[in-house]
Amino acid sequence: MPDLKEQAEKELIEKARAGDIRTFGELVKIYQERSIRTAFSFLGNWEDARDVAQESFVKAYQSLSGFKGSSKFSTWFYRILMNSCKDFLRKRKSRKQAQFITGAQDEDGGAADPLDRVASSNRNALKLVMDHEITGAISKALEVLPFQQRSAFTLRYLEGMSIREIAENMVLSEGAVKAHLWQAGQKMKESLTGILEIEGGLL
Amino acid sequence: MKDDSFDRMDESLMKGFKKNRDRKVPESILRGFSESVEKQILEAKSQNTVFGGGAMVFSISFVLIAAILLWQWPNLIKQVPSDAKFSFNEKTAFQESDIDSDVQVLKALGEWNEEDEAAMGIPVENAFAEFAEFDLDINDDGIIAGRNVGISMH
Repeated sequence: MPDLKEQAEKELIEKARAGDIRTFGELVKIYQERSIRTAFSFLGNWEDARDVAQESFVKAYQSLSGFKGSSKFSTWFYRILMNSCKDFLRKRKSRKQAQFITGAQDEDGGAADPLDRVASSNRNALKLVMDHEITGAISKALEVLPFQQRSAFTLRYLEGMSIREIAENMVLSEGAVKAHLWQAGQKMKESLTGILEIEGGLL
Repeated sequence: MKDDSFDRMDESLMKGFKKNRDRKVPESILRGFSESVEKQILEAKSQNTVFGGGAMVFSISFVLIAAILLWQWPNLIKQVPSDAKFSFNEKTAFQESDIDSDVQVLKALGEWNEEDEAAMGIPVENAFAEFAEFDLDINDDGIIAGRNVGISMH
C-alpha cells in the first residue's frame, strides 16, 4: 500500500495531467530545491542550475501525458533533468570551443589562452582551498569525466542517492553503476589530490 | 574492482562530500521559482495556441485550394476539339469549290465578266489547278514537306 506522501503525489500528478497548472506548481515546490541542487552539481553555477531546473519542469509538464506511473515521478523527472543538464553542458562546451577559436574572452573575462587557463585554474584552486571553498575544484574535476561516470558520481556523492535509485535513473544495472562510480572515484581522487587533502582529508 | 575496495572508496567519498550534500540552495535562487515555472508553461501554451492555430488555418486553406483545383481540373485544361485540327487538303478543297460555285453563280447573274477573269490572272476553271498540283505532305515531325509536281504559270 502506497504511503500518504506517494498517494498525495499521485493525486497531484493526476490533477496536473488534467491541465491544472497550479497543482503542478505544488509538485514543483516539492522538488525545486533538490532539482536545483542536482543541476548545480552538474553545472557548477547557481543561475544556470535554476534555469535548467525550470526548463526541466516545463518539459516535464508538457510530457506529463507520457508518464505512466510505472516508476516514481522523481525518477522520471530526474531523467529529464539529467538530459537537460547534458544538453546545457554540450552547448557550453561548444560555446567555449568557439571562444577559444575566435580568441574571445570567457565568461569570467579571462584570456582564452590554454596556458593562462591552467595558471588561472591553479590560482583559483589555491584560492578555493584557502577560502574553504571546494565547489569550483570539484566541478572542474567532474568536467573531464565521461557523462555516465559524472552522472553516477554526482547522484551518489553530491545528491546522496542510493545505488538502486541511480540505477533506475540511469536505466543501468546496479553493477554497471558501481563500475561507473569506481572509475569516476579513482579519477576524482587523482584530480583532487593536493587540493582536498589540505581541506581536511576529504579523500 | 573488489567489493570491499568499492565499499571503502564509497564510504570515504560519502563522508568526504557530506558538506556538499548538505549545502543549501541560496534564497535568491529559490525565490519565485515555481511561479516562474508556471509562467513559462502558460507562455509555452499560448505560443502553441498561436502557432497551432496558424498552422491549422494554413492546412485548411491548402486542403481547400487543392480540392477546388481537383474539382475544376477538367475545365482548366482547354482541350482542342478534334474538328478544329487543320487539314490542308480539306481546307483548300473547301475554298476551291466554294469560290468556283460563287463564280458560277455570279456568271449566271451576269455579274462576272472577262475583266474579272483577267483580274484573277488565270481562267476561272483553272484558278485552283496549281494548288491541286502542289501536293503537301506532313511528316511525323510535323514538318510540311513540299513536293512540287509542277506549277503552271500563266
